[in-house]
Amino acid sequence: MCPYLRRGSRAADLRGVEMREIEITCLCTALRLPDLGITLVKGQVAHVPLDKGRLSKDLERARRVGGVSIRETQRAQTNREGVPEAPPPRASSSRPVQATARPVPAPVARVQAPAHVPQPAPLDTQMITQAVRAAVQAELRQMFAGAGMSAPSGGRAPVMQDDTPTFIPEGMVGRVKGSVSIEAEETEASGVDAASTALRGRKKSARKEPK
Amino acid sequence: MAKLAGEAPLGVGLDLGTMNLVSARRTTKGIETKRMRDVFLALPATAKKRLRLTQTSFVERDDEVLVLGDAALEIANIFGQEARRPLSAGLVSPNESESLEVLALLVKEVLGPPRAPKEICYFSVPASPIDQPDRDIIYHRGVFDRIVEECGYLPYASNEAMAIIFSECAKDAFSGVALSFGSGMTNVAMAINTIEGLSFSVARGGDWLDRGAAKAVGSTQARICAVKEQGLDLTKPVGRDQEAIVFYYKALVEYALDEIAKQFTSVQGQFSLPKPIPLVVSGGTSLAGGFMDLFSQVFEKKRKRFPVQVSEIRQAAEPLNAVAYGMLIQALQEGEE
Repeated sequence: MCPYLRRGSRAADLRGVEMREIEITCLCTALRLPDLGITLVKGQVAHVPLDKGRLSKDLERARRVGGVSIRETQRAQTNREGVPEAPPPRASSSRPVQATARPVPAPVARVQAPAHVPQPAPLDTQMITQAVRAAVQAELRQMFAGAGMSAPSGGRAPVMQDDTPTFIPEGMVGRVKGSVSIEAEETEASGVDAASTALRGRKKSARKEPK
Repeated sequence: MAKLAGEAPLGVGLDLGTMNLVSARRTTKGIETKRMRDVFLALPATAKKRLRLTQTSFVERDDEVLVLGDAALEIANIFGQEARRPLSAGLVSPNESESLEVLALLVKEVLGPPRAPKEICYFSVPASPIDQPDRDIIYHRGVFDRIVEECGYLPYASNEAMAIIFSECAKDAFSGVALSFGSGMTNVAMAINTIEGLSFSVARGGDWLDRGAAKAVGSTQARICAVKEQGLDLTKPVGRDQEAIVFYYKALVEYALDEIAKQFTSVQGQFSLPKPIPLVVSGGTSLAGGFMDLFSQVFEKKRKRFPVQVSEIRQAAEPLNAVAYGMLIQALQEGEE
């Protein structure tokens, strides 16, 4: 009996599984979620299994800084004879992912949870909390190993943080009185202006692309 | 762009290096940069008279005087002391709490006052060094976040090597591999269409090179530094000191390229490179004569097995300012949001 189905429900009569997922919508210019293996551009939508999404530290971080909106969804898939097959995985946005030339495969976003990921019982929040804590500790050990989050010009650059509070002293500026004269140099702005214009153009194109 | 009426757009970029602090802002005439050596010299109050005689500017703190920036390096020998550097190997250390207020003053001087309240300031932070994973960049970032905020700006931290992508790779659709060879560390980032695919740093830079060369020939770091500053051609070293310097330069470049290959291989499955991308080199350590030739020579030996297809190798137009320019570009964009 599938643990996700209530005993006696009509759905339980079907040899099938109710798939609970998290729908991720990218709200910023571009975003990478390395622990989910996902790269999104603005407006693009991806689906991941619920438990995997809940364990994703990158997703939580992105949600906290406003880079994504997330919601839980549910889809039913049946494999009983005569019953229509589950619809194919929802295609992600037709907009190509800017970061890579390979076509955006929906299965990349719709990844089955690997076997070793603990499958918490539904509504068992304590188990979920423990699983998240274990995943966070594992993530902290691998912090900064390889790819990071994108830091385009829009928005505060996301920064990896662990949960240990760090004391930063206050009032550092102004404790030492005095000033030193520094000569300023003026250079042409053509390079900076050109780069700014190019970056602005890319953002406008990204906004204009249909979802 | 956010701007005051009739003025240049608001926003400032700040490069926080082990050796130099550099700020960049857009003015009506162009780009204004300010640079200051990230060093200071603490002397007893009795040194004031000598400092005035040598017309060296200083500031006072409690019962001592502080000489800041280039002047500190120049007069350190006169007083038989070594100038102190608030940043070590690219990062501020929690053990250097005494230097924080000096660092704050250096940053305040380089930044200058904001042109508007909460003017946006993007400042550089290195990636965590993969060969010293216990080094704390969280504290480093937190300190500068606080300092920049106390200077009256709205602070945003951004990766140092990614800034080079923004300032140097516009014509390549902001795709490329950027290497920032600094004094304390070497930062690397790879991006495709502005999206960072990889970033890391190694705790080897100009200082590591000086230490290694000095030890190899039984000399001092200061002397090796002086040999470099006198001018040398890395492709034609003359004398034992220069040969040792070249040896360590090659070792540094090889190390950086090997780590790029290793790190890229570990993330290769997560994105693909549609076409060859440029490799852009920047940082003060790359200013040595013949560096780009040396770099290209080392790279050519590794090109066949290098996992990234490189379209060209080039140096940043202004290696000392590229990071600050990249930060400025991001600050200007942020002001438009």
